[in-house]
Amino acid sequence: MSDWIDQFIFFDELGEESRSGLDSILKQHGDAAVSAAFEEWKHLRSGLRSEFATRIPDRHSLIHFAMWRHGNASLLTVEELNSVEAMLPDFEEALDRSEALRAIVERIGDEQLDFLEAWRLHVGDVEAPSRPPSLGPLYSRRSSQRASNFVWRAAAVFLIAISTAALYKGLGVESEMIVVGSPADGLRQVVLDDGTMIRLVGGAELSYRRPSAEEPFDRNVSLTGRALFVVTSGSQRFVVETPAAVTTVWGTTFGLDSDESFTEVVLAEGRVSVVSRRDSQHPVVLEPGEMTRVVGAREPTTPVRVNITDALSYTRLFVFRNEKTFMIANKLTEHFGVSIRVHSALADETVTGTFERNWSLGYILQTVARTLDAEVKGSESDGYELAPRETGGRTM
Amino acid sequence: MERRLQYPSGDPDIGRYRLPESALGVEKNEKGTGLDPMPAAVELSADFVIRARAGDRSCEERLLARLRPILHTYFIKRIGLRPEVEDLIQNTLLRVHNGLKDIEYPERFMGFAMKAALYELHDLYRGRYSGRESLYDPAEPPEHATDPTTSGNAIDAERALSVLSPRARQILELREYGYRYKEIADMVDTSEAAVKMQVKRAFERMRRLLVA
Repeated sequence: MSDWIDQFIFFDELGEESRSGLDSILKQHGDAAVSAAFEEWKHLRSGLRSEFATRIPDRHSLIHFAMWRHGNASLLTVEELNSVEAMLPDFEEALDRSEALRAIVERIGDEQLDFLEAWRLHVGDVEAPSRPPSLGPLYSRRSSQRASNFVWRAAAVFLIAISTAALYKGLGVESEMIVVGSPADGLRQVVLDDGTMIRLVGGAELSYRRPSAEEPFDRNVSLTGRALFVVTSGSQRFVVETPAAVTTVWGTTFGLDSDESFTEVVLAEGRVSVVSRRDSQHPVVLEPGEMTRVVGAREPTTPVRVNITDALSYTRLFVFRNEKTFMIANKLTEHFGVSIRVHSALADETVTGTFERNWSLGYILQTVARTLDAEVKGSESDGYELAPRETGGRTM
Repeated sequence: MERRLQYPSGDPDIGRYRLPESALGVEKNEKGTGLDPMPAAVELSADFVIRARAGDRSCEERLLARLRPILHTYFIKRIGLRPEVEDLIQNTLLRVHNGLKDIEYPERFMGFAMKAALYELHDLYRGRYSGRESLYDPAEPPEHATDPTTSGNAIDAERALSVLSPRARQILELREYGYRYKEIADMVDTSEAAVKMQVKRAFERMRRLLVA
């Protein structure tokens, strides 16, 4: 293609002076057909801009969504968070339709991390999500309701600690495989092509075959260490391999903790099947709130009931599933050392939600209160109270 | 509805946000020339934000002075050593200044500053090519441009967009958002040359459609 034609194709890169000279270039080299082509090229670009703009009417809202999407919802105001939640279906649809929009949202995640790193450089350590912070929604809902603000469809907290002998060190050591790792003392969150979100904890490594146009993502991964999986629902099962076990899910939340010869699975939501790598004939199926272990070549242990919040504490999250409000208050008091009273009318209400442990207590309580249509009274110094909303009352 | 933290006594300076006594007031340094600076973590703390929000000019000045180098590091990281960096810093500081009185959670000033920086960065993207939308004045088409209404050579806009490959469309959409081709290459994990080749191919496909 001629160099002079490149100037028209990339006219938006030209300075004022160069653009003003394009007309003379066209006279010198072009003909009517070429002129028409360039005119249409402008129209195409203009049409693309207009259409794309309809998907992003407000760039600030897109930024808020990206912050929420990347685990920084606590940095949003109540109004911003409410706005994001109200627009979630629109954002979901827009992301489904536009690769460009997905790329922009991911880039905003990097932009956030760069800011945190700049802050850390000049101020000191801050609690920050690791790269790339793409865990799906951290939300709270009444257990009797469907989550209205759940972004990535049916997310389940799936912690899979899988020790893998087949993992490669580093990132992308082999071109067919993608390897993602988290810092030894940090977190890293990944979103796979099917929307499944994985939160790698403390030195964990995840690997999977690099998807391509010919071979899309096959929902098979291997994991070493600890991770939280938010697996989207789909017609195809999602499989996680560890040296000791193979865990199969269909849109589930569960936790995994493993090493070379041990795997523990805790199920928070959904269904999961666990088999030993050495003996796949005796699977164990977990119900929510159950745990099983695979040790060496033995079969998975009989499922036992566990407290999900305690069992999944190493994810650095509070994971509440159908948890009574007074129990949530107890857990938060235990962690923050602040007294929290729950009005009797709310004590037995159950809530399902996931919260970062480094969020402020006030923010967590507000989220729970919003779910219950309640209000938070008091302060950290005097203690908090969750109470039914009063009309005209003072709230936090 | 805006929600503000309500402190029991109504005084925003109570509880855990109170500055230690040693940090209050003015102390002269060894040369007696003025304030000794406090650590950045103190001058960017919730206490300072609360005081700045309440109208303490000195606190606000320190707050913004502490924020400046952070923004400088950040914007250089994002867009490189470009003249726009200083504009971005100034606009972000102005945005922070204007928004101080409405900060809901002083302890999350970092997040507030981050949002301000992100807004300015994306406003920069939007403004990069907005002045270059028209190769020519649309009211005065170029001499050599074929009149699409008479020549029959016009392409339906939707049809033109439909000939774009998904990759080309993604690249052009990112371009229209305001990213440079180098930035787009980073986002789609390829080289700038490959990105531009996609754009050229898109042009050629459109031109063939025009001829067809």
